[in-house]
Amino acid sequence: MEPLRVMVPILASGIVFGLAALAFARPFGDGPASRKACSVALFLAYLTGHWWIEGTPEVVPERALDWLPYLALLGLGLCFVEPKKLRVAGFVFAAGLVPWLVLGHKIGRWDVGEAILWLGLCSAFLVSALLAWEKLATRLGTRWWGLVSMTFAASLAYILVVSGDLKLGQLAGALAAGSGALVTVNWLWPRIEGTAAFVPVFAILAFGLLATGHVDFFGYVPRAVTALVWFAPFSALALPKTTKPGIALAVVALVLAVAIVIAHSAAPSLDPYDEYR
Amino acid sequence: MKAIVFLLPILAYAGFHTSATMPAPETGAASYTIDPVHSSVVFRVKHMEVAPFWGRFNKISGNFEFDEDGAGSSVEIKIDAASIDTHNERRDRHLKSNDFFSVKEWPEITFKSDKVEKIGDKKYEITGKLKLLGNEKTVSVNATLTGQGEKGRRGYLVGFEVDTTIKRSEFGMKGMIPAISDEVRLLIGIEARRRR
Repeated sequence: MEPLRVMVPILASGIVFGLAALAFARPFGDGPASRKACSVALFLAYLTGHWWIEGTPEVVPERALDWLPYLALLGLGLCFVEPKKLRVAGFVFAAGLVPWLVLGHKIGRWDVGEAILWLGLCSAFLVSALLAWEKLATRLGTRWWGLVSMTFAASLAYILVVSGDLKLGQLAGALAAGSGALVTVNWLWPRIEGTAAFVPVFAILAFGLLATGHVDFFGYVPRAVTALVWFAPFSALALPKTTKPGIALAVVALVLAVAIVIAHSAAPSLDPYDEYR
Repeated sequence: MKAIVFLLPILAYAGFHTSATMPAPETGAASYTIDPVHSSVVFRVKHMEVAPFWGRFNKISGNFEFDEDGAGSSVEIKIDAASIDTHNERRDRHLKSNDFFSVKEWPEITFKSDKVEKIGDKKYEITGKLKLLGNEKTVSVNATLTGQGEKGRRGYLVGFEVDTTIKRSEFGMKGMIPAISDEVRLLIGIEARRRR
C-alpha cells in the first residue's frame, strides 16, 4: 500500500505532462515549436507532483524545498528566451541566483570564504549543466534525450530515497515521470518534440533537488555520489559525435549505476517506510 | 506523613532540603536558567493510525523570568532538533532529514513567549511564538508549576510541566501524514535554577 501511495503523485505528474504537451502543442505549433509546449508541460508536471507531495507552494518560501516551484518557473522563463546570447546570459544569471536561494539558510552559517567557495562551485555546476545538457539534448534528439533525462531523474530519485529523503526522492520522481512522458508522447505523436528547450526547467529543478539532498547542505547524499550524478550526462558528451544515441544512454546509465552502488553502501535504509530494523 | 518523618534525616544527610524546609515563595519576577540535564521534552504521535508512539529531544536550553502572578513572566526556550531520540538510529536519521525536521537547515526549535497569564492555582497560560522549520506560529500552552524552593548547593529551583498538542503540518512538516499523525502531543518538564 505504501509504495503505491508514494508512486501516485509521480504517476500524476506523468499524466499531466502528456495532457499539457498535447494541449499546448496546438497554440505553440508543431515540430520544433512544440518544444515550448514540452517546457510548459514539464513545469506543470513538476508542479502537480510538488502540490501532491508538499501541498500548495508557499508564497513566501522558508525552506530550501519551498523554492523548488519558483525554480521551475525560472527555468520555464529561460525556455522562452530565443536569442542564443541572451539565453546564455539567462543561464549565468540563473546559475548565480539559484544556489543563493536554495542554500539561503546555510550561507549565514558559513564564513565568507566558505560561502564564496560553495556558491561559486554550485554556480559553476549549474551553468555548465545548463550549457552542456542543452547541447546533449540537441545532439540526441527528443526521444533519446527523454530517455537520458528520465534515467538521470529516476536515478536521482532512487539515490535521494536511499539516502533517507523520501520526499525529495518523490519530487525527483515527478521530474522523471515528466521525462518519461516526453518519450511516450513523442513516440505516439512524433510532431511533438522536447529537445533543448526542455533543459532549463529540468536542470534547475535537478540542481535544487540534489543541492537540498547533498550532505554538505541539508541532506545525506555523499559528495562522490553528488558529483557522479551531476556529471553523468556529461559523459555522453565526451563520446564522439557519431556515437549512437543508445550507447550514449548506456554510458550515462553506467555512471549513474556506480553512483547508486556508492549511495547504497553509505545508506542506512533502503526504504524509509520499512520497520527500521 | 510517617514516611516523610522517616525520610527527613536521610534527605538532610544527603544535603537536600525537603518541602517542609522550603521557604515561602518570593514575590516579584526572578530570572531562571533551564537545567538541560533535569529537563525533558517528550513527544507523542500516533503510528499508522493505530498506536501511540513516544520520542524525545535530548537537548533543551533557555531562560525565563517568573513571578507567581504571571504578569511579569516571560520565557525563551531552544530545543536542538538534531537531538531527537526515538531509540532507533535509522529512524532518528530519517526524522532529521528533509522529510521531517530538516535539522541541517533548521537546527533549532524555538519558543518565545509574548504573554503569561495566571489561570488558576499554579496554572499558567503561556502565549508565544513557536518556530519550527522556519515557520513561526502563535501558540498557547498551559503550564503547571510543579514545585519550587531552595535546594542546598543546587540553589533556588523551580519546576514546570507543559502539556500541549500541535499540528505539525501547520509548520510545514507534512511528511508521512497520516501514517505518522499530524497531531503531536508535547510534554515538557522543566527544572530551572534561579540566577544570582
